[in-house]
Parts: sequence; C-alpha cells; structure tokens
Amino acid sequence: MSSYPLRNVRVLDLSTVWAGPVASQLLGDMGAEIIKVESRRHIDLMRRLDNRAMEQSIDHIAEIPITFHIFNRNKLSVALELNTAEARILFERLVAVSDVVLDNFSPRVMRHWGLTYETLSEIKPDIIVASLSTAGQWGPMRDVMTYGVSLAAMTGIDTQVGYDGTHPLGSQRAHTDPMSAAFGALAILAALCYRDRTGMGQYIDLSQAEACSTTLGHTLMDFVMNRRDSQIRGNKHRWAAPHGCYRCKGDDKWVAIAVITQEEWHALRRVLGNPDWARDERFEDAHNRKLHENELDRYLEAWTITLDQYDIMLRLQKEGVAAAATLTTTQIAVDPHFVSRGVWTSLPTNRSAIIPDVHWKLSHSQGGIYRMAPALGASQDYVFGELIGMDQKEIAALEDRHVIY
Amino acid sequence: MGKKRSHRLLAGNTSNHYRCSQMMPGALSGITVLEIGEMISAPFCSKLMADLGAEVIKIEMPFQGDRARQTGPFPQDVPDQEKSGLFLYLNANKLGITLNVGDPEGQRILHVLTQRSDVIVHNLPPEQADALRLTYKSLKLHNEGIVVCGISSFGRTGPYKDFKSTCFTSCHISGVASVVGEPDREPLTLPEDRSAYFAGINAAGAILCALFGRQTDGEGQDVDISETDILAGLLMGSSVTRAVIAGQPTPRMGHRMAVAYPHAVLPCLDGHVALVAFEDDQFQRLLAVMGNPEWGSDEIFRTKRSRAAVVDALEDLLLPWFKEHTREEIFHLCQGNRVPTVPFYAAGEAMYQPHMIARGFFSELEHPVAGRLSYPGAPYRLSKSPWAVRRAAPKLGEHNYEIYCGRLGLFPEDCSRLRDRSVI
Repeated sequence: MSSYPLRNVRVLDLSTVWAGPVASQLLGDMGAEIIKVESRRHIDLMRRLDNRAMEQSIDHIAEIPITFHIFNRNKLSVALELNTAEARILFERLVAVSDVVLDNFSPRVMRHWGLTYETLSEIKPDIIVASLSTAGQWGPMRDVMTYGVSLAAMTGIDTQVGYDGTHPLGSQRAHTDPMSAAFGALAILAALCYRDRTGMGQYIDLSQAEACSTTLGHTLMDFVMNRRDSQIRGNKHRWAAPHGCYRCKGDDKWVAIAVITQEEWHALRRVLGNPDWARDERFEDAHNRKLHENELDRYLEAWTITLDQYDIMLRLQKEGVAAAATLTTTQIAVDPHFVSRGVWTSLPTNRSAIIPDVHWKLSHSQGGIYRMAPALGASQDYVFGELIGMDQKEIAALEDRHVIY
Repeated sequence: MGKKRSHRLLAGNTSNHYRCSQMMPGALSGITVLEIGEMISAPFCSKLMADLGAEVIKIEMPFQGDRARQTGPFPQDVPDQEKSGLFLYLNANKLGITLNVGDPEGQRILHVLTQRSDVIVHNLPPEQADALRLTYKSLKLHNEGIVVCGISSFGRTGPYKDFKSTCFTSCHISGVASVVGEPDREPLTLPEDRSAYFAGINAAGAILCALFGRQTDGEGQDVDISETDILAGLLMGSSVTRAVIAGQPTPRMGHRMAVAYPHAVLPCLDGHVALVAFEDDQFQRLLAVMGNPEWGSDEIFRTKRSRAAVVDALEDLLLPWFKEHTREEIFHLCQGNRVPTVPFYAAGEAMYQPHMIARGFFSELEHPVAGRLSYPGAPYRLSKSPWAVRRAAPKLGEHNYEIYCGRLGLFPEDCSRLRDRSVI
C-alpha cells in the first residue's frame, strides 16, 4: 500500500481563484504539501465570495466560503506581503526547501518582484516553477484581461455552444479553469518525473488559451484541411438522428437520446411500441432521418413528455440505446450512481455540506482529504518556525511590520 | 510469476532504450505505454504522454483500426483511413501496431508486450475489457509493476457502468448540460466531444501519480477513470455544493452568466463579444469607454445588487453602442481601459490570430499519405524537457515489423502466419 504518492513533494502556491488552486488541489489530494502564500492586501476572491465582510471571512475557518473549502482542502497558508523586500527574502528561504512554485499572475507580477525562474533556480537549482497565465508569459496577448468565460470565447471553445448557426450563447461556465488546472497538474507531474531522472528542475509556461485549444481537435483539423470553421449544432449530431434532448414529464425535466446505428433505431421503435409514424419511409435510414430530423424530434417528444426522465433512460438503456436523463446539480448530488462511485464526500465540520471527493481514484495509491482549507496565514508557526527555523519573536516582529501580512 | 520492474519511476528495460532516454530531453522519456484505444479519451491521454517523451505503442484492430480513422475530417471530405484529421492529430508521436487481443495468440503477445511496458491505457467499455482480460487483475500476473488505466463513461463500478454512452449523453447525465442554454429551452451539451479530452487529461495525471506510487514498492495498480465522475466532480463540483446548500438546482441563464451583470454575450457590428464588466469599477470604466452616456449616471446602475434588478433594461441600453462597433474596436477600447471584454472568435479564426501565430502554437508535420499539415501544438511549455512531436501518426500496422520482429524476436514467417489468421 503506497498511499499519498506525492507525499514527498512541497509546493509553494501563489495562485488564486480557480485554475491555479485546483491544479495544486489535484496534487494536494494525492499527498503533496501545498503551502498557499497569500496576502491580506490581495485576498483570494474565493475567500470573499457571498459578499461577506472581510474581517469575518478570512480569519475563522467556519466563515470560509464553501467554494474556497473545495478548492483548498488539504492546504496550508502563510501570509506574505511580497511587495516588501523582506517578504521576498522570506519567500526565497521557503523556495530553498520546496520542490515547486506555482502562480497564476499576469506575467509582469513575478518579474516585477524579481522572483523569476532565473533567480529562484539560483536559490534551489532543481526548483520547478509553473506559471499558469491566460495567454502565455510572452506574446502580443500577454497582458490581456480575461475571466474563464471570456477566455473560452477568445479561443473558440465557447463559440460552438448555441442552438443553431445563428449566434453563440457560450456555455457561461468557466470550464477553461478546471481544464487548465488538470493540464497544470499534469505539467508539474511531468516536470517532477524529469527531475527524478535527471536531477534538474525547469520552468513551465502554461497558456490557458493554448492548453484548452488542444481540445478542439476535430474543429481545428477541419479548418486546417478544408478552411471550414466551427459550426453550432446544439445537441444535434453531424449525420445521425434522432439525436437531441427531449422534454419529459414535470418541470424542466429532459432526457438526452442518441441513436447512431440502424439497430439502435429499431430498438427505439420497439420501446415506443412500434407506432405507425416510426415505420414511415421518412425515417427508414440514417440519411432520411437526418433529413426529416425536426419532424422526428416532434414525434419523439410527444412520447417523452408523457414519461419520467429516469424511466425513459432505463427503458432505452435496457434495449441498448444511449439515453441519459439530463440531471441538475441537485440531482447528481444524490444520484445513486455518482453516490456509489464516491464522487461526493462532506465537510467534517458540516456533514450536510456535500463536496467533491478526491478525483483521481487509484487502487493502491490512495489520495484523501485529511485537512480542512486553512484560515489565512494559519500555518505560519509550522512554515516559518519549523521549515525555516525562525523563532516566535522574529515572526511577531515581521507581523508587526506587515511583512508577514 | 510476474516480472518485477525497476522501482524507479523511470523504467527502460533494455540498456539501449535507457541510454536513448538519457540522451533525450523528454520529461517522460524511458516510460513505455501501450494504448488500446479508439476515438478520443485514451488516445488523447497517451498522446499527452507521448508528446512529453514517453514511448507509446498504439494497438489497433487489424484491417479497421481506430474508429477515428473513419470519422474525419478528411481533405475535401474524401474518406481515407490514413487521412482522418482527428486520427492524425491524436496519434502523432506513437508507434502503431495491429493486434487482435481477443484471439488467444493475440493475448499471449499482449502479455509479452505487458512485460515490457510501464503503463497500459485503454477506453474499452468495462464489460468488454473484462471479457478481453484487459484488467489490472489479469495483467499484473505478467508484470507486477504494470499500471492499467481504463477510461470509460461511467467507470468500472456503479449502477450505470454498462450503460451505452457518448460524450453527448455523458454531459447530460453529469449535470454539465443542465446549466447551458436558454432557461425555457432544452439544455445543451458541450460540443465536439470535449468531455473525452477532459477525461484523457485527468487519466494522464492519475497515471503519473500511479507511477510515483510505484516507486515505494514496485507495485503497479488499477486506475479507474470515469468520464462522468470527472465532469460531475471536477467540472460541476463547486456548483453542486452551492446548489445543495441553496436547496435549488443551478439555473441556466442563456447568454448571461449567473454571477452578476454585465457578464454576457452581446451581438456587435460584425459578430459577438463576451462582455465582462460586472464589478462596479469595471462597469464605470465600461461607461467611460462608451463615452459616458447620460443614462449611465442613474443610481440604479451603481452597484452589482442594484444592477441585478434591472438586467433586461440595462442590456437594452447597452446594445445600440455595441451594435455600432466591431469586435476588434470593442476589444481594444475595453482592454485599453481595463474592462476584461474579448471577442468571440470561431476556433479556426482564433488559431490564426496574430498572437497565436507569434506564439508558434501550431506545428507542422509531414505524413506519408496525408502530406504536410499543421496541428495544434503544446498545451504547456517546459523549458528543459519540452513538448515535442517527433513523428506523424502511424499508418495502420506501420510498426508491426519493427515491434514484432525487431523487438519481440518473431520471424517474418511467424508474422505472415499471424497476419493470415488476422491476429495482427
């Protein structure tokens, strides 16, 4: 049994909000020691959610917003005012005993502080420094301001989301954040592998725009080969029908049905009770079904609207048709499959607060949630005292001068 | 008795291979991966590893190969199993062999390959993987240190594990679709099989953690990646938590983001923009960009809270100015005044913007049949062990001779016999 496979890895995490913190969360869940290096002057947005008064939310665990709990479980926290030279010296002392430095600042920030890879690798030659930025550490878009949702628009990822060809809706979700987080964790793990073999650290420049663009395979290759760009297709398939989302009994209840093969079409017909309309030549093969897709959808929805979404899903799945109830966020919290998979756990201090459990499930190398998200600066005795041997007086003096702040 | 591999993370098994990996700067050099995958999730997972220097041997069924060879896109829409854009992109950097692992001789060959590998990644449905004995339980008998990663829609356990699924149905069942689209219309999936890529990235990360775990005791393990688990837990997890506390499902808001206003897709003169100006200071700067219209000074627009009550009216007031300006104009004016607004680009359009070209995001590769093409490039830039693409995607069975005869020591006559029997 080799639990917590990353237990010998220490990460100094300067990142905030979503992408950076979740990258280190993925590593922390597998045992890496993640030390958040925070600042009272620029408090992580996720500590300030729900419009709580700042004094209330940052110093007491119970007042930490739930999203911060999710993204920052298992982590430690120190407060350093890196705009002061003394704080930067302290930070460098931490680098000397760490393996990875992670940030998601806009590129000029670390440079402005003199905390570049060149400087940090002089302190610790095998240090791995990873910077997650919107569009990369250099380039014409280096200083662009975006949020996750707008980043998706800029890369074309969200431009494909809509009902039809007329206009993009966008997903209105910052999916680029967790996606970039996973790429970030992977890049850091790869750098750790390289260090394991060669003893060398390195610098990782991760542009979230570029990382997420690698998931646009089909679209980009179509553009390269045929100069044909994104098409908005809603829930429809390129050539197969029926393929869509149909209203079911109840308020805002839906089911997704995907019929790709002729066999699946026959199976669907059987479940429908072989109605006359389904035998019409308009629907006899894939080509014709696609041609008459709108009528087909209307017939199908006349059936689904009389039934429960789960009922439809189970009946169709039994006959080998890909059908899925469109579940909401409250539904997936209690759905028997996700519950049995261990997707959810709860906060130790509040059993009714359901949070996502460790995402990477390995048979021997278990990860785990072994510590709550930290209050700001709560770990300074361990980090400054034990890791770099400062005494209480020193620490107190730096607190007074707002260096540890 | 299973052959025990080295305790080190790095596990080249011949001295030649080890020497090569020492010289090569790839982060994952020395790691050997067998991929038995089709379409996206497992191929993207092993591509990520190949691009970082791992040796990836892709196993395809004889004659047909990976289904992605049939999906296209194809140049001028003419199907050709060696010219499918999706296949070419996802399988560059890999060696390709054909092998029918369902055949008893195919199984024996798989076991020999397993002995020489660190990782096996596949995306067969659990029932099929079990039938083919493509499981950690079976394969560890041939290599104690093997890491077996299966990527499937619902995982190897659970009431839905044998459900038929596509990325479309996965998005719908995992909560992802429920929050996308107009409130009074059907929820929308994420387009272009995006969820399969997401599963692949997470699988790669989990596999590397498994390899770190192997350092302690030399034992491999089973990595069970469920696409819908990842969507529900990692993509939607924080929304689920908040929805359960609020006692209400997360709503869909159409072209607006729920958090505050303005945060929406607006039409402009030549397309659309993602308008982001919901913080009070951002909103004031937006008004300045728009030339400080008189209506802007109304108290009702001053704070997030008050704006939330008049979203429709505010949008009607914003639209005329946006409709008079192009995407580029709006982009430069807003960014110049620290309003984080960006244009909506179509994907191809986005890739050929000056900054993407300046960053050299695309890389060119020569393929013996498909010719010279550009491909999306590195998701990250590692300074000392860079992402690198060394070879184009393999033709079907291209490396049969090199692997079967060159490495496993089969004679050409053996290979002919196996080919005649459709084992390879």
